[in-house]
Amino acid sequence: MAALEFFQPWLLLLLPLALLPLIPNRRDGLPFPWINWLPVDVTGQRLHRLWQGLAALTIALLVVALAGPKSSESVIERIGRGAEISILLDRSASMDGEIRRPILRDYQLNAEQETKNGLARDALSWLLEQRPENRYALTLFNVVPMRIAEFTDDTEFLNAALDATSIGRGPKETNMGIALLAAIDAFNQRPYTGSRALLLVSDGGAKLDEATRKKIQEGLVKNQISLYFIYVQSGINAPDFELVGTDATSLAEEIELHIFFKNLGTQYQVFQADDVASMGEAVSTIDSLENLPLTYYEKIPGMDYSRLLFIGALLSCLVLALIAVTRLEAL
Amino acid sequence: MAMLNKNILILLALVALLVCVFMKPIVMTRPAYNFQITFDISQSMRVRDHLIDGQSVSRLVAAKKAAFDLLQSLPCGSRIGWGVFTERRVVSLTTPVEVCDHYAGLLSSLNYIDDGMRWANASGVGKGLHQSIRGADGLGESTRIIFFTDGQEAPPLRAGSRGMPKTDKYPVGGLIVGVGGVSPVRIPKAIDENGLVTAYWQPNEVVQRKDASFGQSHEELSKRQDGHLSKLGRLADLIYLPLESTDQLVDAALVKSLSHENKIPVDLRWIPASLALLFLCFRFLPGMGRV
Repeated sequence: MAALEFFQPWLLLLLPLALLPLIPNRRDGLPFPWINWLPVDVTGQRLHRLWQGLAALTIALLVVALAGPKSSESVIERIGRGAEISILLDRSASMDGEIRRPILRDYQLNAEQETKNGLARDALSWLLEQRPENRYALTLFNVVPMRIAEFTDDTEFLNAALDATSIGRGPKETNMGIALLAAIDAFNQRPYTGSRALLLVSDGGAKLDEATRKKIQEGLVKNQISLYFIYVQSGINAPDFELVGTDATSLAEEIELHIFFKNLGTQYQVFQADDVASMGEAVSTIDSLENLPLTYYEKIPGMDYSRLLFIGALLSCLVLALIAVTRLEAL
Repeated sequence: MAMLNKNILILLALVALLVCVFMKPIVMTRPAYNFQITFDISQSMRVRDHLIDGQSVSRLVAAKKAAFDLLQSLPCGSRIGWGVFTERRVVSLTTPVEVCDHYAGLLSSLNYIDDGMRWANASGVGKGLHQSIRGADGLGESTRIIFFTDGQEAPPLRAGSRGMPKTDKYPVGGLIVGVGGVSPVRIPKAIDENGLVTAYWQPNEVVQRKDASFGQSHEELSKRQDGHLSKLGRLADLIYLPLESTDQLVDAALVKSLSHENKIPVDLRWIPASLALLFLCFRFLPGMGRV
């Protein structure tokens, strides 16, 4: 429930000013030497009381309006569709590299080269724009995880954090194990209010030791988190996951990671992206999968009542002025 | 006509109220500040030689407290972004966002900044400063920098070397904030989960100055490098602020030279409204009228 607040509550101390019109005032006395000569003027007395009342009301409305009344900001719970998505974005030097393409043809000479990071940023910004009611947490990682945003729907802030990843180059090494654990940790101690996803965006794989694997699996299962891996392909020589089975022993870290994810026992999907189109497709697929009912909170900004009160004061003052003018001799 | 004269104040109040009701907010310029704030998170920033409320805290915690005070003091319309520095690199965590609308986000990301983000040891303060300046220049919009560091270069610079590429191309402006105490203390090497230091860097474990005479170089100890930092400040056209207490930053940062004019709509309805109130009160003030 929104409570009433004042920007300048101390101005309410001026409220007694509204009593001024109620004090008998010599100024309003008619220049008559002996009023007993006059007949009792009932209408006039009533009108005078109305006039005093209106004046008091005008002053009171003005004082309250100047104090700046507003309802306090309130938060209401809504049920919508969406998800809590913990974004884990690779911020290592390799992501600053351009996507290598097959040799450009003559007509493609001016084709813009985009960095892997740029591609990831664009796609994630698109997701934020499409689903502002989702809640997102953001963690960057290289050799260490860097948590930046806990779950929030402040998409402008999240976009600023994504923008920041384009400044300078990231550190060289990566350690995906502790990064995954940090991104999972974002869900810890949170009440379950809707579907949960971990969105890993990286251009590389990782060798994970047994203890880390166990912790990742436990964390994902315990918190009921679906895992999405957007693998930003480094180029034409990047491994193709579609060609590997679940039991292949491969030296490529990417494939090893993919197989580990596949056997986790949680919802898992991989997307291989090497251009804007495939990246967008991956993100929109995730978006369509993760739209179960979600409880979210909508902020209702405080409402400013001062304008209403000013209008009230204006109307009351208008009647006051009309009485003042018509009362001359007519009554 | 006497009645009309007496009531002229009511008519004036009416006019003032009309103006008040139909008045639109007026666009005025107000000073605002855009800061990209970078924290040195190298190991020497773990030295606990700052006091906050009688508690000894690390240099990084002191820097974060100063940044928190600044975040709270900035007028709405100002913007803040965070970044961290260690090794020879700055990683920006967020570009500047408006401080009132995004207060919660800025505060929680500030809280996340800690020792655990250090991706590598070593500390090339000049290089970090240069990157921070270049990054802010790229952001435009009158972005200034605030760079928290103790000035400890590891490995040490050769005598006479500034350790910072030229920054003439980037007219950014801002502050270098020196944290740490003035007497040299040991640098924690390992800290356990409870925050207790289990090992300190030993003289033979760190790179010592090549140009120092035997036994004169003590790079395993760290203090606030006022000389080095004020020199970097002069070179990069930044103000150097040695931080003695965390509230100093607010006074040093909220100055005209670091501000820019921000056009914001200002509600001035209180002026005609106060006039109307004044007119009405005068009209009904006992004893003020003619007999």
